[in-house]
Amino acid sequence: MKKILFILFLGCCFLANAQINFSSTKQNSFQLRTNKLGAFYITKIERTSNGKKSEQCIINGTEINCELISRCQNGNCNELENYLINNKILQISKPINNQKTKNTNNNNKKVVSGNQLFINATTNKREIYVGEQIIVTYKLHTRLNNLENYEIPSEPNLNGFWKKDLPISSRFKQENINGVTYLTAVIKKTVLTAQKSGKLTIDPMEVTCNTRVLNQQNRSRSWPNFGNIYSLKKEFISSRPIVINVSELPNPKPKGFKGAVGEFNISSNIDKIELKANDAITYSIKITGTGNIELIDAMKINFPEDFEVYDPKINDNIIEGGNKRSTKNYEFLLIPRYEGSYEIPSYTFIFFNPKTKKYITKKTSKYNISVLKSDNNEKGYVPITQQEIIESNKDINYIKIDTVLVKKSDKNQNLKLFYLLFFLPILVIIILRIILFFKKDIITNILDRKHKIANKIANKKLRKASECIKNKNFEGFFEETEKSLWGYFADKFKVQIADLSKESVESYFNDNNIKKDVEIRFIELINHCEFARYSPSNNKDKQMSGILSSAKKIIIDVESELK
Amino acid sequence: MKKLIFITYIISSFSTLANDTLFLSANNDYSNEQYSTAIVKYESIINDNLESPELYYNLGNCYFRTNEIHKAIYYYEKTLKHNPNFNGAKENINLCKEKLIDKIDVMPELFYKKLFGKIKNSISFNTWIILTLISIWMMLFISIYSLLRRRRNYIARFSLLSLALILFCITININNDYLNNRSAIIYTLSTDIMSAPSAKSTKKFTLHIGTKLKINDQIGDWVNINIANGKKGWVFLEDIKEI
Repeated sequence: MKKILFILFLGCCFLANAQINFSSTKQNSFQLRTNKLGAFYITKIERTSNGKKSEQCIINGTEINCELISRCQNGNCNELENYLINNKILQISKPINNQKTKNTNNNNKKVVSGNQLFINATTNKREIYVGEQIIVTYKLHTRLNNLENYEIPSEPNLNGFWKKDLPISSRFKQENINGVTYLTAVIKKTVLTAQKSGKLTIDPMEVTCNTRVLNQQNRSRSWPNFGNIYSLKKEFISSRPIVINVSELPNPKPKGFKGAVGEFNISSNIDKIELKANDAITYSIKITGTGNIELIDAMKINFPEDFEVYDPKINDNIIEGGNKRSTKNYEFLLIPRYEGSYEIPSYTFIFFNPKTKKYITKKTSKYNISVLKSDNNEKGYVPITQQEIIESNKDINYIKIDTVLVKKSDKNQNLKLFYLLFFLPILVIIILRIILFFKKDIITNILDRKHKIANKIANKKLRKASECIKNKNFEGFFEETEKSLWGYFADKFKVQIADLSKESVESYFNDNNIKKDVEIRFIELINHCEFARYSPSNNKDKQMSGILSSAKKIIIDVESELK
Repeated sequence: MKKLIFITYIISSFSTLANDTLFLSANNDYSNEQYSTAIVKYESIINDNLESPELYYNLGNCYFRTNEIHKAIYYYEKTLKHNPNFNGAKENINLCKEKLIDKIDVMPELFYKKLFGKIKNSISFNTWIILTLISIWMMLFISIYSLLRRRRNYIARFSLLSLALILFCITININNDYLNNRSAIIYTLSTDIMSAPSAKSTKKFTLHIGTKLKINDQIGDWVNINIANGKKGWVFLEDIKEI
């Protein structure tokens, strides 16, 4: 339904500073008001000057062709409507509430409603994977024309996200939202990389806006009036929290995956593959793509051990925190120290592609490098400090191949046997001691028996000699003693009679471990006997019994020594 | 009777023989990275009432490979209980400990205890037993010899006797260690260490799977434990497995 209202304004007088201006205008104003289109004014001015009749149609301050209006008056308004929309005179708007915006000027009494000034936080995604990135944009919307400036008192708390602010242009733009025109400005744009899984909340951002307000007190005083004096009024507004659903990367994660999420490409480059020892090679690895490229760690490449490797130089060109195609370049400086051929292994880069939901492995190419003998140093490189051998990957020791399986034994039983075997000897000794204490003779008898046997032999051998003593046959005694000693010796050691000599005594005695003392006595005794036989002596009587006993002793000693 | 003993001996020797081949095939499975089948084989040997440090060690390795660190630690500790000088198991335990949640700083031992421990572990328990018996029996023979030959030999006899007594004390000490040093491994993901043997008492701290505990005492279903840094508490019996 469309209605057309004609409002006619006539005359207007202005009185200011005691000066009178008089002007007279004839205005025909049409106000077109429709439910659908909102409010706009059409002014139709008809003038008659010099007899000519001219018409001028103005809608909201823009001059338009009067024909369109006259057509509209006849019921065909579509053309007018299109014209107005195309020339941005009319904006199609659905009034959200009935509040009129007419008095927004100087409105210091009115609370700024949510519709007039607010922040909208938007993200490009709500469901992401760990490591995936989202862009959060904070946009300030206003319909106030007295907004002076805004400030962000504190950064929003971003738990579980790694954030990177993007540069923004804070110019205001016109934007139409649901038919209402707003001035909008992006006040903050952040790339967030989810660091953990779960429901993560992006906390609301608070903004303080200063609006310019006409000072009411100054205005009420009509005299003196030094123009409008404004004061600033603070408005606190905040955005709504956003919940982002972060899901864990699918398992199983491939070995060597280090958390890169996005879409990447990897390439490597080397400046030479043939060089002399101690020259430098530049080896570079370039990662390009979108994703959390900024968070990719320094890579570990197993360069040959004879290469001196310096820490890589990292050049990166990261656009919007990796949200747009970025590059990261690792430049390694390698110095081979010895001649030979080496291989730079390929580097495996694994990342998760959230679009295809798959892990993707990309490899760089291998390079074979031949290092020639260095010119200046014949011996090659001599390291000043000796290198330690560093175990790079720890792993458990390998299993044991051999074993002796034993029954799970009762350890107590073994222990009982141990106690028994330990205390048995002690017991035996104690028992022996007790027996000896009561019957000391037993052992002595055993020992004496041998002695007795030896005594018997000695007596037997010296029987003739002792008979001589009885008969007082002195010459015979010495002869017999000597003879029986020699006879005993020959019998005992199985010596031929012909071999009997003092030297052989020594050797046989030595061989049978008989004490030197016995040997000396033996020889002395024989010498003595020989001497006594041929020498006249008076006290042969007395000597005889002494010689007999010493001969006996010698035989006993030899017997006991020989066992 | 004699026949019966003989037959049982033969049968038992056959069973060890069968288990030896089982052990070897389990080793093969391990080297072919079929850890779960190897585990089944090793476990069946243990169920046959047979054991050896190597068997426990290999089983620990299997569990390490299948990422059951607490079980791996359990079997490595068992290996060390049977052979305290098993270096492979010691090194593997250290690797396992890096993967545990709980990091416990071990209290340093007093130096003489450390020294004594080293001496005790320098040779196996059986060697200690044999040495003790040799010295005491030598003492006996020397004593009898001295008696018969009427020699005194006091120094030799006395020194041998004292040596035997010292060795005896060490052996008994090792045995006591074996019987009294009960320890356990936590087998549940996390368990609370309480201040008293009851679920209602206050919680002192929480321990996680794979941590080794020393058992001091037991009252009903609750075990008094202390951990390597000296902290004490009570833990529910079903949460742990004794080595």
